[in-house]
Amino acid sequence: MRLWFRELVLPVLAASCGAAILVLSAGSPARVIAGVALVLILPGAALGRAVLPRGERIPEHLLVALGASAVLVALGAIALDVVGIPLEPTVWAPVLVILTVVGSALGTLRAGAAARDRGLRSKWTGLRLAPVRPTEALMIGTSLALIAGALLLGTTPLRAPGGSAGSTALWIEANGARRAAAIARSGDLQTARYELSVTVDGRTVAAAPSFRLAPGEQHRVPVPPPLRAGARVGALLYRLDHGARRLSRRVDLTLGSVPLASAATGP
Amino acid sequence: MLTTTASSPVAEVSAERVAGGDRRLSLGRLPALALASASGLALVSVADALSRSGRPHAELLFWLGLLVIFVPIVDRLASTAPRRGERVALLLLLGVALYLVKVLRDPFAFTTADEPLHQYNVLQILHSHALFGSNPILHVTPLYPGLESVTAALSSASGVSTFAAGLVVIGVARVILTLTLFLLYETVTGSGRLAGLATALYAANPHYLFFSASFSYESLALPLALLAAFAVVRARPPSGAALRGWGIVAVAAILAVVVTHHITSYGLVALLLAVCLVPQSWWHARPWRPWVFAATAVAATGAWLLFVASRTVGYLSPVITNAIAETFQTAAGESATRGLFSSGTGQGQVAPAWEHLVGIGSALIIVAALPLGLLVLWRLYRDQPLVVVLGCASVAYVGTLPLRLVPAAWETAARASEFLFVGVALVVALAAFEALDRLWMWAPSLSHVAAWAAAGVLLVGGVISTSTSADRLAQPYRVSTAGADVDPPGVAVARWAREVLGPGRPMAAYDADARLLMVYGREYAFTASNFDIKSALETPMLHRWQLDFLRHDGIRYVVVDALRASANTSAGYFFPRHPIGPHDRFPAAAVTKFERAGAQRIYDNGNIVVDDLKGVSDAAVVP
Repeated sequence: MRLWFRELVLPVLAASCGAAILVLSAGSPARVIAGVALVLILPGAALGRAVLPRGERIPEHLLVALGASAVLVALGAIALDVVGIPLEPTVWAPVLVILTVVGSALGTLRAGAAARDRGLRSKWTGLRLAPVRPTEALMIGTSLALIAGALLLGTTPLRAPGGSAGSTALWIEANGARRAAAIARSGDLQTARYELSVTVDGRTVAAAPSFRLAPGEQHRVPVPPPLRAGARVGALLYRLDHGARRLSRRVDLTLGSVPLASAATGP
Repeated sequence: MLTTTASSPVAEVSAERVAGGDRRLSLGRLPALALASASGLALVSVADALSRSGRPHAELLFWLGLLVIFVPIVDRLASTAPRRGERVALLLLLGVALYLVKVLRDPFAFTTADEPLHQYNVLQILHSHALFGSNPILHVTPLYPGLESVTAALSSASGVSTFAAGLVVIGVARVILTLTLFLLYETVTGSGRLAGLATALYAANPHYLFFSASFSYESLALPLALLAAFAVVRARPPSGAALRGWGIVAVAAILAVVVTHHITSYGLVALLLAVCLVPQSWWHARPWRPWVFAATAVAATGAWLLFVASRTVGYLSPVITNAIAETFQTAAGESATRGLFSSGTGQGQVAPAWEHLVGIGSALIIVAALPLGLLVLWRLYRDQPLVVVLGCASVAYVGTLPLRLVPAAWETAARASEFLFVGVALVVALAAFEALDRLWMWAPSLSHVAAWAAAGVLLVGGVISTSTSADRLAQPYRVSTAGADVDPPGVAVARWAREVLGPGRPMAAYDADARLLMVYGREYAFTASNFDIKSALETPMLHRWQLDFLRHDGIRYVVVDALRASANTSAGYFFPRHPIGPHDRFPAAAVTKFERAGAQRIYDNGNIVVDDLKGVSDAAVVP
């Protein structure tokens, strides 16, 4: 009974991970854990059980679990690609579950029930963790806290050095052949005041006098209709600093000349 | 069979043979050393934070952090006290801690030269659900899809970003590398102590800290190649079960290396052939030769090169022939030598004098240790073909050191260190035991100090020899403002291009901008590493032939960056840390020439503009 429970651990884990990948939403913690286990650990672990000679120890099994998983996924991807099967989650999940189940089954068949039981006993019997003393537990806990703190600090955006400058972008977005808007978006490092004017064929048709843009914000000025196809729309963005007005950005667009994003096809 | 003398340092550790079986998982000094490594990592994180925010003293904390991680673990591994489990745990701790140093340097995005190119390949796979797409900058990379397919599988299975998936895959590769090095050394030498120290010393390889931890195909291929080598060694007769089991692992790993990285597959072929061809002592009635595995590697590598990746020849041959030609020219005094202690990108930074001293000191330690280590190797392990090959590799490493003075050969030499250092680490570890144990009998405390100093110099010298100060520390990529977190202008352009123009547009841009366009814009970006693109971006006037070239490649949009840093794949991704001066900009004539020829400026964020070439007429360009 205990033997069969052990033999089922890998297949059941793989099936659970496969189901989690197919059911759970992308990026959820459980799916991330399932994805890492199913792609980087379980297929190799199953292969290790299937082929490694008895008596190999934990580092060898860990090495084969990780290394053979990467190997199987890399080679499996080529095999799937060659036969024209798309590489997507609905394919990866069952393929990796099948690989794990087949590896586990081979391991079971190879050893035979009784031999496997003896093999497991010889590998695990007497293996025990020495008692962890309070000082050791404290040191390990402190280490984990320090590493978490280091990663948190490392991934926290900080204020930029004094010499750094951000950038506020200006462009004209065409909406079909006869509609357009001028857009200013701040990627600057501080809030600033701007003035935006829009021209059509050299004639000013719209303006946004003195508006504030904080980092990450954008300001949109629609070009008033009617617009003819082929009209040349221009936009000028002025930065206002302490009463001074300085031309900061300038763009032009001939309506109908720039393809829309939805029409892009890729190489 | 291992033969040792009673006084040999290896003799005492050979008692701790592979066959020996301790059944108790003792933590030993692991908790204390984990605390030391975590403290070192915290110091590095503070150093990176200081660097990102433009404050001083970052370098000092960085070096201190590295030494706090490395030296205590090396000291412990050099002693006879740890059991096998503790050695393995310490090595994994060291490998992962040093990997996190690289992660802390680039915590928001892949920002070394090749990383975005591989990330683009992953995005291509996720988009098309197929392999073997195209890469406009590094054409051969899609032909070796091992790393990208694993990363794409993880990204699509777990739903995390390609950046996060890449970090996990390379982290796993680091664990594989650490385990496989230890097990390989342990198997061929029979000593866990020697294997532990040699594996730790491998971290002093100049490319270990950053390049080997980058999201690049070699970072996965090398661990898999070492796994293949280890499996081949373990697949030797007389055990049929071992032969079958490890043989299957070896063949699978060989095939995976072949589809992951060209140079590594050639290196694996060379290693296996060398092991087959090493002369063995006459008393071996049936010397073991892994011909089957060598033949498999040769056949698989040859077939892949012939039928799938024939373009690799055109990619690699200029690199190799230029390196050889310039080596002869430099030796003959016809070419200038390269200045040492600068990164390949050559940002004109001069390293301080202490860095020169430590860098040269680390090379001298290796050169001085090799004769002693090779002597011990010959005495103890000359009947182990793989150890003999590793000894030869260590000698070859010394041979590559002068090549670092040759501009066209230095990168090849530096990249070779990743492979050759597998031998160097073993030979230096042998020498260290021989020397330090003798010193220990004479002056025990001095032997500890000497070991610590040598280990520190080796690690720091290795890092210094391949990176500048700016390369080692984090730079401002995502910065905090009052309202929101802001990414660099190059990222903003790329996101705008994807949003407004749509993905897949052929574009021209300087190197750093092109990589950002590929990853964040999913655009098909040609860059200045192509001579014609470089010319089209840099000349003060737009010539007819340049326009014809751009049109021939379907390039309608040119991303023109006024800052010279955009041509630098080390510095071009980040917010500048100093006020921009005139010398930091390209000449205004070069920047505005497309508009003077009739192009429309359709996007402007100050230093970067996007020009639409549709309106450029032939009459407006220089004939």
